[in-house]
Amino acid sequence: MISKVKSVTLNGLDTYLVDIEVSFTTGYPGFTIVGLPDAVIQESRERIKTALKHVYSEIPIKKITVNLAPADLRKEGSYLDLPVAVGILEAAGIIGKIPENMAFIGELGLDGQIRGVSGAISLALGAKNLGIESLVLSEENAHEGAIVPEIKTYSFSNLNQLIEVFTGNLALDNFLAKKTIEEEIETSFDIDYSDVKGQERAKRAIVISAAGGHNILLMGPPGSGKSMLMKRFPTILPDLDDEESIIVTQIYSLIGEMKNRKSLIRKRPFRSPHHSISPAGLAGGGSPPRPGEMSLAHRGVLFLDEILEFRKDLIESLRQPLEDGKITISRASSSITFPAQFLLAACSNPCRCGYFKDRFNPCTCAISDIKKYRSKLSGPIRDRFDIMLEVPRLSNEELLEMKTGKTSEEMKNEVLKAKKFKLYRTKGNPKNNSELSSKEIKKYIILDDKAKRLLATAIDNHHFSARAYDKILKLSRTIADLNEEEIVNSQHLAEAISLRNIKWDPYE
Amino acid sequence: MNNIELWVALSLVKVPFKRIRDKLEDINLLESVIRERDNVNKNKLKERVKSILEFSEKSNVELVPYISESYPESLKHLNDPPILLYCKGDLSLLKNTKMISIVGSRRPTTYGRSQAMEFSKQLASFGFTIVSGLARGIDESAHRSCLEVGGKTIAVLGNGLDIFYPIENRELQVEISESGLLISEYSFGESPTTYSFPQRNRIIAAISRGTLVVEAAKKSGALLTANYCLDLGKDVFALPGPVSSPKSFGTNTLIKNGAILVRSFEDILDEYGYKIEKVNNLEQSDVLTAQEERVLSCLNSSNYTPFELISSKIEDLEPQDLILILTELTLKNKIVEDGGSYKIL
Repeated sequence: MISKVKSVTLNGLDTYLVDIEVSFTTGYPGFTIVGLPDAVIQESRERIKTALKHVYSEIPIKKITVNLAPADLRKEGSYLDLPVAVGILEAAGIIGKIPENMAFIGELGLDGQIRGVSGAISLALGAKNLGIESLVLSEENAHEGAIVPEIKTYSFSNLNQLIEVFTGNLALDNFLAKKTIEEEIETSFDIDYSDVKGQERAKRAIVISAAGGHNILLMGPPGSGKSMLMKRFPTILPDLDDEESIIVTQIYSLIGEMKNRKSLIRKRPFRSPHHSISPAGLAGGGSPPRPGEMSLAHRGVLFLDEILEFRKDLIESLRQPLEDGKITISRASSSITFPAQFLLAACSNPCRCGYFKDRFNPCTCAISDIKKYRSKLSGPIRDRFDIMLEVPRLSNEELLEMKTGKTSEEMKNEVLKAKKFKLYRTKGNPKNNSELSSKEIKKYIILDDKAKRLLATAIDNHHFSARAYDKILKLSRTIADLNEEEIVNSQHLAEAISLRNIKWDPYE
Repeated sequence: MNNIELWVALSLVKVPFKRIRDKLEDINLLESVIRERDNVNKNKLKERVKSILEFSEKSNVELVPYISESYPESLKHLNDPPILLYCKGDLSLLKNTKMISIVGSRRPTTYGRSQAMEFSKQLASFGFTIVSGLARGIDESAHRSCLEVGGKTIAVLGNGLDIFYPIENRELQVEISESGLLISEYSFGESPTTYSFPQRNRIIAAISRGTLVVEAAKKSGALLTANYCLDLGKDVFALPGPVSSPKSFGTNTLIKNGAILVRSFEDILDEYGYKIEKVNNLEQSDVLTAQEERVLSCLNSSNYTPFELISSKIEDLEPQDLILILTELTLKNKIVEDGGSYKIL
């Protein structure tokens, strides 16, 4: 007596089909699982045995062998509990034949309850591509499966119900999961850019950053409002589109965030890890590997407050994702790739005491110490920041005189307007201005004559280095988009030049 | 033998110049000089001369003997001037008196390289012809930067003009032969030797009005060039460097011994009595608009004013418009920015 049941397993966001073969043979009674199962699956034997005892007491006392095929692929996690239990029930002849192309995913409780697993949305999406036609999930996961309309999703809360259905006592269609995924309710923020007084220039830089996807670094003394500005970043970000939304939801499903949510994630992620974070926390890792903060910020913003306080190796680990938009975690057994395309926003003090160049407090650092402090941000990482803006601090009296500036709503509208114009200008190319290659810069960024002369003057007078040249062109393109203009003029260029005003070398 | 063949032959047999100094006008006497050399195979010499003349014609190389009109007067002050020059390119460059050589280490520091480029660009833009030796390092930087700004440059080689040394400067050598001038006293096929480079330096020193030594270690060929300059009574300019840098030891020593210290190309112009008129790419850069004047009135020259304070004083301007005005004022060198704050220069 051999039964075959299908399930799906995850490796990062990639899915693989697993065939579960169960055989009852005569011999010394026992229960063995073969086919590279991990510790969680080995433990599942106890869960499955007890659960089956609870719901159905007549499991034959024979030698049970479970094979997870393909045998060379390492299987992880608790979501194979359910298919193994179903396989045993079928092999024992307790239930009838399971339909072709039906896959089972779920964890079992000792009393036969079916529990949810993490990553169900990725499993369901993967199942579709692997040719699965119907999927049995726990009630907790059913809404995630329902995101994939091409697959029939059935939701069960208990092994008992399953036995009833497959012995023919109940109709399977009773358990069809309705599409319960909801649209996210418009969330309002309790913070707003109008809270920040007297930083209109930095606010403008943030709008440009959000509109063109430019990484941004703000530097200034304590009290200049850098962190306050950055924390309000999510209030001006446009919502995720459908495709982005599914990927982001998949990532959050992997860390178990989707079990209690009934909707796809629509809000752009904003992650601000503390500087004490571990390398695995930032890049992803663990066993099985989980996405880190960089992947959780996919299609959103990764905000590193006080970036110079992060360990140097953490900062350097940002390089690959910033370049490729993904991060690969390599282990001895396998390597996993998670998407990690984020806008890097960072802020920092200019020196250890914080008051270098401040107008009110004297700085107590030696210049050499400032250099050392700043050396943590290596040239290649600094190269990734298009916008590097130094923000001065205002005294309390000066702040009181400031009028309230732009609100988040106004700023968000500017961002949306620029994005829309960019799509029109590039005929639908979704690439951000910040991601343009040198070749595309030549193609898409057209300067008028006055702008060309301005650029020549600026280079001659050493207002910026050759390295900054491309960044300034990309920034000027975004600024032109904000003004809905096809040709970059000298005004756009001049503003772009002003967005890189940090003199990194304190001796300068 | 006609005139030019004779001079080629003279240069090939490497007659010391002092042997012919008093015979320059008389072809017969000069011929006798060759005849007197007994270790020379006269037939082979004739063949070699012929092939050189043919090759030079084919490769557009001009042969300039000592007695030629084109031969630079300045070289005649040397004790042992080259008897014959192989030239490729624009011979009229030799008539320019605004000629300055830039020499230095073959393995410069970043500082040296960038300064060589800077000086070369500025001097070339000012109409100077830049002379150097097409070696690695300072020499090539000086040549390249000069060509980059459309200036004129002369490279004096320590090998035949058909030899490319160092090989990575091959394209540069070709470019100079097209838009500048290549000079060598060595015949075709002659490879560089340890001896030929110091020899070449005497030509660099002699044809230029002064020599700028950018970086030189304790023992450097650039110092030899400086020595030739002193012998010839030419100016030696030296770029100071950190006393801890071995690459600046030579230049600092030159300064200690009386070379002219240069801080910028203007120091060289000063020495020759040229006045600088600043060229600016922005039109009417000194004319300020009303808005710019308004913004300027909010700033002072003693301390920095943050952007937000300026913005609060000029309420009717949008922040991005104010940024624009401030950036333009910065580019016009009217104000200076530091960390988001501005002051008048």
